[in-house]
Amino acid sequence: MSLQNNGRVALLFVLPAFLFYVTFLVVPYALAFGVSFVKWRGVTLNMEYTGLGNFAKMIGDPFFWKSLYNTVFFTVLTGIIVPCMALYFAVAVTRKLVAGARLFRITFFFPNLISQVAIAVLWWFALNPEFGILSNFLRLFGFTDLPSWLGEPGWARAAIVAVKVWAAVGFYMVLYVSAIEGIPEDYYDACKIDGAGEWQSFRHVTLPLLSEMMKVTGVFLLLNGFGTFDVVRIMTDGGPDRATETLATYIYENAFELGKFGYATTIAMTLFLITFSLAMLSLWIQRRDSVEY
Amino acid sequence: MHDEKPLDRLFAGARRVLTQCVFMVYGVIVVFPMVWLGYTAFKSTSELFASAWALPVEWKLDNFVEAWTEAQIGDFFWNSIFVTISTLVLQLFLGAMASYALAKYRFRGQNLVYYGFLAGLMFPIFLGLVPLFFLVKTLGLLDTHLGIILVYAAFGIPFTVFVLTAFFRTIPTTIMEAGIMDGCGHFTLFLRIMLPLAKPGLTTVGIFTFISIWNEYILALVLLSSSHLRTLPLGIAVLQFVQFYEVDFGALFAGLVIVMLPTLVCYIVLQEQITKGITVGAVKG
Repeated sequence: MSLQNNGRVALLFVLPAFLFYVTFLVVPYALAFGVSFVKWRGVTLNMEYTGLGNFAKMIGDPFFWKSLYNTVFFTVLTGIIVPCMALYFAVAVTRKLVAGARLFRITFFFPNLISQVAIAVLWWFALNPEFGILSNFLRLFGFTDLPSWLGEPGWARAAIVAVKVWAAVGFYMVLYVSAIEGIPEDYYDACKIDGAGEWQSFRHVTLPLLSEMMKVTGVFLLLNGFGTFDVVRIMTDGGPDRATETLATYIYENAFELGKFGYATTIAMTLFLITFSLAMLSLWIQRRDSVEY
Repeated sequence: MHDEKPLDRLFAGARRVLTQCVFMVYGVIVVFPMVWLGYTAFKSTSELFASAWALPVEWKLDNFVEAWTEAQIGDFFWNSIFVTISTLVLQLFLGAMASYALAKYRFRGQNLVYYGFLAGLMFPIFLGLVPLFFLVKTLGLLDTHLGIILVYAAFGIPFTVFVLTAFFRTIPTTIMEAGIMDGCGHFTLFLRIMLPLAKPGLTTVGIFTFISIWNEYILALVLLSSSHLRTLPLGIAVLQFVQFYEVDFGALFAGLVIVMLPTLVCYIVLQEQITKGITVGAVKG
């Protein structure tokens, strides 16, 4: 087949996209490895090699640790709450445990279509202590002494988690729904004949057969949690008192507000190494434990 | 069939009612904030403070007019349209060309190129952000629409290649041979025959690109600074930051409605396709 062996033609087709990709993705990422070892401030390309100096600085930076802690906090909480809710919804709509399943499938996905910016601004309004939805709702039940939700560290963090969950559940629900719909109906029929209830068929059919999808969504949740930026930047800008500062907002602050480009990239590199190794670790653990069928 | 004890049936019934309640409550939590936003956008700020829940006394378009003109939302809207469409065209065209060659030709280094593209799906945006900023600056493209379009298209290429390569593989090679027999050149073959056949794949990638570029914030924040070049999400984020001190929320509410509507409408019209597309995107594993 001489047609398909025409390497020269093929290269002409691939080259434009590949050049784009190399210029705007590969080059910056490759440079990032180098930049994390230099002291680089201001707008010129003057850099000063500091070896592991940036890393040492980072280890001694309490704000780095605080943002790391917050990032882990958001990732762990959303990483537990989102899949639990999404799975519950997905099972209920696919196993016909709820009326109006189609309508719920459509509406629960709405937040995933909206810009994170719009979601953040919307909830920033909705959590306004004076005219926001939440405060007004609670006032209906006679609560009067309500906090400023985004102004107090504890509430602000809870709010970020809640908004992230609100923004994400629909997407994961759609993924689980499609995975559950791929499970042969016979398996459930067999369960029924054996007298198993809805819970048992979930426990022994749905859950084991979702392991592939769990693996994929686990990595998504990890990347999403560690990349938390938009919602925090807009709703609280890392405050109050850095209670909601994440690694991503801290990187942005260092680079584009304080001009510490080298240091920011060092933190970014750390962020990348953490997510990458956690993703690999979770894939490895899940591969080891995965069910064959 | 086995007998069910009355107690079991009662339990199952209770569970059913409970599940239905959970769904309805969560449905309200999802939809109500958007509905609230929708009608509040027609209220004045003083009306909002006076009664937060109430429907507007008069459905006035003042906020929308103010948002569109004074708050520059109109400019941001057209900027978003221009950037999104240009990105779509560029990314789909380049991505489709590469995918076609990767799926239908054999050449040296083919796997390396393919997996090289896919590796782009793994890297978090924050890692490359600072070098990217300086790269775009060095190229003289900082604070230009061209710069952000090129960056968006490049960032979208891995996903495009991933979906479209799989798609082109399903198109039979005999069609290509027939085309060549009819005297098509390789490029005409691609443009006139293969590209139209790939329309379903292009649509899937197109919808996702549209939604993600329309909503994108962090790259716009870093690469655009002039106010007249801002895209909608960036413009709204800045507006929120300003309104924080000025306490005039009307324009911001209206702006939110304007940024949210296009993707929601797109979803309602193309609901099936989007749901299917998400699954395609996730199975990459």
